[in-house]
Amino acid sequence: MPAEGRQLEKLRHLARHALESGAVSLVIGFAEGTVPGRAAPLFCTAPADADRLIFDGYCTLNLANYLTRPEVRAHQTVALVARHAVAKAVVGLVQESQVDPTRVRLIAIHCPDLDGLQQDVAWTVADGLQTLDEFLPTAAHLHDQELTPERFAAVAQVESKSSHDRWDHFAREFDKCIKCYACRNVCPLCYCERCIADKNQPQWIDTSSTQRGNFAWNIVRAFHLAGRCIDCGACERACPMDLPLMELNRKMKKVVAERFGYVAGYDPKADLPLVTFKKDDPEEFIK
Amino acid sequence: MADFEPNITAFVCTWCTYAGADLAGTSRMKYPANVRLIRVPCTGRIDALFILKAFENGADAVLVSGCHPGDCHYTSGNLHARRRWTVFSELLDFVGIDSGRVTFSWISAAEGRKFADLITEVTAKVRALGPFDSYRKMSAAAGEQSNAR
Repeated sequence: MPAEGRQLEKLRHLARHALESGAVSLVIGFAEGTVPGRAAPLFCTAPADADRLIFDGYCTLNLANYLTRPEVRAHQTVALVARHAVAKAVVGLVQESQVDPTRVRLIAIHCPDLDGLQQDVAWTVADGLQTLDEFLPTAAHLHDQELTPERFAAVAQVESKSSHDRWDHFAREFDKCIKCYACRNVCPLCYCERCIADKNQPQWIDTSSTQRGNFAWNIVRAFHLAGRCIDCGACERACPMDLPLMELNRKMKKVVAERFGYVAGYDPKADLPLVTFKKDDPEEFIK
Repeated sequence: MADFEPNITAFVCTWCTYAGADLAGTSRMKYPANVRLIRVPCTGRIDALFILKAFENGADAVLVSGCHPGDCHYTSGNLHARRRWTVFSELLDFVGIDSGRVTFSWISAAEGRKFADLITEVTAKVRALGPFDSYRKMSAAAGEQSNAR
């Protein structure tokens, strides 16, 4: 049996056993999608469902997104098929008191970051169900790779332009936005039951996809995720109009790392950088 | 552009900068009449959307000002705000809004002089930058002609 096949058997066995033993009542993973090159989320509640689980480079959706849904909250304990980006999102949700860590288990998948769709990706599955506390030490070494220059190549390219050209660049990109909010809906950390974009008393953000409304929406979306975005790229992959949303998210990530020395997704007990402060925070831009 | 009069919206906290502006007035200090003050309880109350909304409604520049660190009436509102501004000002700069369009400052109730000087300085800077047409000309209605520069 090829290595991937063995890993897949192990993944399915872990999920089946978790459901059979009653350790969890729901396993969220991936099944084959309806078209080639797509994977669909799979919600396993019976042990037999586990036989439909798959994992490959098309499994890019961030499954942590489902943890905040009422149907999933109704389960006592839930297991997630979690590559690193999913686990980072769980950390964020625990940090923000949206998810009780004692009610989540991870079937941890170790694989490279899935930045785009790719069929072949080498992956292994960890032994046994893990709690978040058990998982975190196994991913701690990835913290150092969060701020490598390659990750910020697109940001650096935008930064190298003049202010005027940057405006043109984003005006052109934001103009494409159709306000479908796929970026918001697919984001595990955009969980507000009532989003500021949906409020109309007062109407802060134009609801139609005008230049003005698109600008306000995309700026506010990036700002609300500043210091919280765990850099999974789900928003950019979900965008039907191919807006470079990760340019904004990674710029925010870079600023937060440089100014406040913080990278999201590693410490569920850390204070969020934008809801705390230090007395000697940098303020050279304030007159 | 000689007759361009900048339209500056200032979000000021009621305890420090608003009182500082009051002092500038009662001390009969002169400063340009281009600024409109919006009084808020604390700089911590100032949402990033206030700044965008001001631009949408025709501001050429925005000033955000409150108590010096340590002086906040609510202990830490300005320190929380400082972190948000740090990130938000970088974001605005990143998408191509000139940093001269948004000014942040600490002005205490005793600093009427600083308030008058800052308004003078910001007004001069925005006069040089010109009207914020690139923001104002973004279409606000569906189907409106696209005319961003």
